[in-house]
Amino acid sequence: MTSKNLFFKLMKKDLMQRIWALALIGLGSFFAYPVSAAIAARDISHAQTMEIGLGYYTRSMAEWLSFENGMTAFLMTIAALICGISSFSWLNSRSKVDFYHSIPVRREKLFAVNFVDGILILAIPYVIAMAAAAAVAVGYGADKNQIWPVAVAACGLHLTYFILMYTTVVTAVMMTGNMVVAFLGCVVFSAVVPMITALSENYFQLFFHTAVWDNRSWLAELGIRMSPVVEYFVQTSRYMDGDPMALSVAAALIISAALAVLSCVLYRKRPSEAAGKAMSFAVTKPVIRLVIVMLSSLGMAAVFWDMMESTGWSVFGILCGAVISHCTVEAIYHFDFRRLFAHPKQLVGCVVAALAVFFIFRYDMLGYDEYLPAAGKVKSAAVEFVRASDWVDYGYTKEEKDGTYIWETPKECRPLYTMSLSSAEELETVLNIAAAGIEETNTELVQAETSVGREEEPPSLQTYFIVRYTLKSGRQVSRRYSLNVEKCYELLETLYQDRNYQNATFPLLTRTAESVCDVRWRGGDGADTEVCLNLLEPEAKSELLETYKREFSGLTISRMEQELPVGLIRFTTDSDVAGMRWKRVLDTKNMEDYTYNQYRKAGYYGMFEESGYYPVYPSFEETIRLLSQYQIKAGSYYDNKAVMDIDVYWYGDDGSTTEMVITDPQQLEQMKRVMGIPGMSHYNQLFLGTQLDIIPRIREGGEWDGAYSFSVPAAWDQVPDFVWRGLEENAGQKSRY
Amino acid sequence: MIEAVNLTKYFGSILAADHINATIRSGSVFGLIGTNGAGKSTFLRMAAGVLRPDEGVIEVDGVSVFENESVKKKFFYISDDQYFFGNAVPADMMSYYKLVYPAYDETRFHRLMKDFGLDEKRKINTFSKGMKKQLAVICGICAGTDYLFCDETFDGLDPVMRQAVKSIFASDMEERQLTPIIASHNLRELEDICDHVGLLHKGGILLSKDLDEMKMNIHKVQCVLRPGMKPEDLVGVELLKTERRGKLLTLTVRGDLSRVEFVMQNAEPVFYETIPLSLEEIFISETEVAGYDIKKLIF
Repeated sequence: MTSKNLFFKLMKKDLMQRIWALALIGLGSFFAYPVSAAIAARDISHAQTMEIGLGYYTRSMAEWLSFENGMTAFLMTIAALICGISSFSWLNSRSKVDFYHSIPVRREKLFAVNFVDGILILAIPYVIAMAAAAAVAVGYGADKNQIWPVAVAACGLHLTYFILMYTTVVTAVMMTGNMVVAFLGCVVFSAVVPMITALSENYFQLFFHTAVWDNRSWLAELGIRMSPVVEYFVQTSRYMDGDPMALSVAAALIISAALAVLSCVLYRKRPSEAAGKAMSFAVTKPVIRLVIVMLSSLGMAAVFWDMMESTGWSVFGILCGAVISHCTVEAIYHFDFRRLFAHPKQLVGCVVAALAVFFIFRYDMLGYDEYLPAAGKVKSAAVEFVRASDWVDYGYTKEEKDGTYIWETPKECRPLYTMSLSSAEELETVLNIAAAGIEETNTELVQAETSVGREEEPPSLQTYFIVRYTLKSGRQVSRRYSLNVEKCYELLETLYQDRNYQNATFPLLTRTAESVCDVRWRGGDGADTEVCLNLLEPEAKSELLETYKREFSGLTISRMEQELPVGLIRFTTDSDVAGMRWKRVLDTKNMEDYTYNQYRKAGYYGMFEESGYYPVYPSFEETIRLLSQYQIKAGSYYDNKAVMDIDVYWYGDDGSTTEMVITDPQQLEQMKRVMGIPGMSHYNQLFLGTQLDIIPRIREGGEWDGAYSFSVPAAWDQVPDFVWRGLEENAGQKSRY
Repeated sequence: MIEAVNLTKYFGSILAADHINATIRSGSVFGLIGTNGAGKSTFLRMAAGVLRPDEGVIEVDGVSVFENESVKKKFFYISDDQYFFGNAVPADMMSYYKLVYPAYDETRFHRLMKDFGLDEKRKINTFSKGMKKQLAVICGICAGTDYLFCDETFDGLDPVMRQAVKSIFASDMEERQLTPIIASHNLRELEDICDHVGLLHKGGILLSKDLDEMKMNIHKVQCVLRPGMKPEDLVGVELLKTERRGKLLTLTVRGDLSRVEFVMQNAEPVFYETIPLSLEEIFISETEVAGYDIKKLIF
């Protein structure tokens, strides 16, 4: 008998032994796929027309069979656990180990037989059920060109991540000698690195004011994904987003192969007498205990800090977390409650280490928040002055291979990744801003109590300021500061005028007229009143673009503090226009009629029409003059609006609300001159607006005799006196709301 | 031949096998006797390649056992708690063993199952403990291996079955030089099967001797000596033990039977009679000579 034949015969025997698992998964797959495909087909006849019904059926079946199906991912996770543990559960029984290890079959062969069978137990029924479901769907009239590619891709992807989880489970089984402990091992393997990463991030957020946590580093991203389960669900999400997956799939397969080899090596080294014990290898015991105890104690400390913000309570959390987790691990290791404190020195060591870590973060002993590199060590810096550029969208319209369009927003397009401020002057400015940020971090903010009355001083604007240093050593360091704009006014103004800063922050400034397809204008009511200049000559486009760029790059913070935009302008690209045109065709259909690919990306289609707008300020006289040549009257928003009345609210720090209603026509006219256009304040977050909430009510024109209202901004120092008088008179009266 | 040299195994801090040196010749039934925890199962599990020795080596026909597929084809190991597949019937086990043991004798399996009155179609988990042991022995015998390792396999088997197994062993030993190695904590159950016995105690081999040799060289003599004569006056035999009941002496002596009888005749006793010793009595004598109280070790 050849070795190859023996291998397959042993596989067959093993499969017969585990026929229950095959039957269980087969039964589940049968009902989950072909049966559900047949049941879903009844909806075809419920639709208005057969065509609509089939379109909906095709899309819903493609969605159900595809890789994005979270239910399949969940079931695969359970199946990986069942298959992984059942494949090697015999290692936990002495009599079974005696049997298998005494027969003349090499351990590698035994391992391979059980390992491959564990995969086949899932793969055979799943693939058959998927093929049957696709055949049923196509049989009922679903579009085969949509169903089969999705089903084939899903089979490959689901099986890839099943194998990744399965090999992880097998590795956990090899390292343990008891089924329950093996299950706990799987949980540890699936959660420990993401938990370490999440806890680290949590500590940075809790204790370091300057930590940047909205942009996760690649290391943290890797840490979070160092779990087969997390990675699986991340990939289903990426699939839904249409992200390329080849690299991730290749990585999953390589890691699976590495884990399979590791499992085989562990199996060879695993002593037979480990059957029934908690852990197969004594050397792993203290390592796992240390990790779990440290995680638990620091996690409990973070929970108590979050609730109580007290060092004492956090220390209590460390002690509780350490003792509880240490005792739990010892009880599992020894299966004996009398040995809860079998390793007291390790417990004390973990408590001391956890306390050290906690106090390092709590009192910033390593000077994280104080970090300021020497100018000579910095190669370049990139910054985000959040209030100045929060409105900018760095995405773009992209055509997919299948003719659909998506809105792509890669992280690498953000200024923190594209900007390079490297001159001595630029770096000095950035470092001075950072120094001011550090100083401000150490200063407690005191909120003064206010009462109803005229605003005597402009509002204090705080902004986040993110710095990303690239040091000459190649290291990259990021910090985030909360800055008072007025205190760093000069520095921020200098930065704002910097050409490198502007070009990286506002991508429009690097555009040329050749890239402009058409020009669009919005004067205040969103897309409803948008004007599209699509017949402009190239010279006119160029003139408008260059004029706007010149005036926009000349904008200063002081001007932005005083002015609100009077409109928004967009210089579209060819792909922007193609995307919008494509979307408009799509809009004529019901969502039910979308193809599967269209449907899963539909959440981003709104971006085609809402992104890429830049503000036009009243001081952009040349731009406004050029626009007027095309009958665009900037700043005329309220000219034709019938303002019925204006509600003005003042909100006290004590939670009280004071209200006045302006109905006098003269006062209404006066207010129209100071009120900003709705929606524009988003495009200028440096505007020094009043704290009052001003809500004009405007009569709806046309046949419908209704009204609409919205909150609008106004400059702090331009609120008319009658408003303040009215509020002071109404102070103490109950608001209508 | 199986040879263990300095064979040592620890389970954590417990020393389960302590530098065991033993040689098991082919073609005889080797009995491994010892109390619970003496290391019998550990020794057999190392011999079967289940456990990896911490020190020393165990070889079958000159080749190390652990993870050696070709050597493992030479023996069949019956554990003290033999595993049978869940829901399996005897035929299932036979077909599995047939896959891995090239010389498996299927015809003989069917015949033995019939001879022993075991139903091949009946689920093994409905078998009694004794029936499972019979099935394990049948599977092992039919594997066609040179060696058969039996761990507590005969404990609980009724005398008829033991005799049946013994006769199968005898025929296989004659036909194909089968070497059964039988571990047990009960001397009485091994007595009628074994040719050679090794006594394990606290992880080490205390004694390893050929049973016939032991039986030939140790005898019990009941006698009444001439007045004035003492047992110590019997010259030419090694007196191991003397028991006295009135004038009746029971002497345990080492030496050839003819020599013992010659010495006794020359001593002209009032009466004498040589009686064969049971294995138990031989062990008591031998281990007492070695300085141990066997009753405390085994019984």
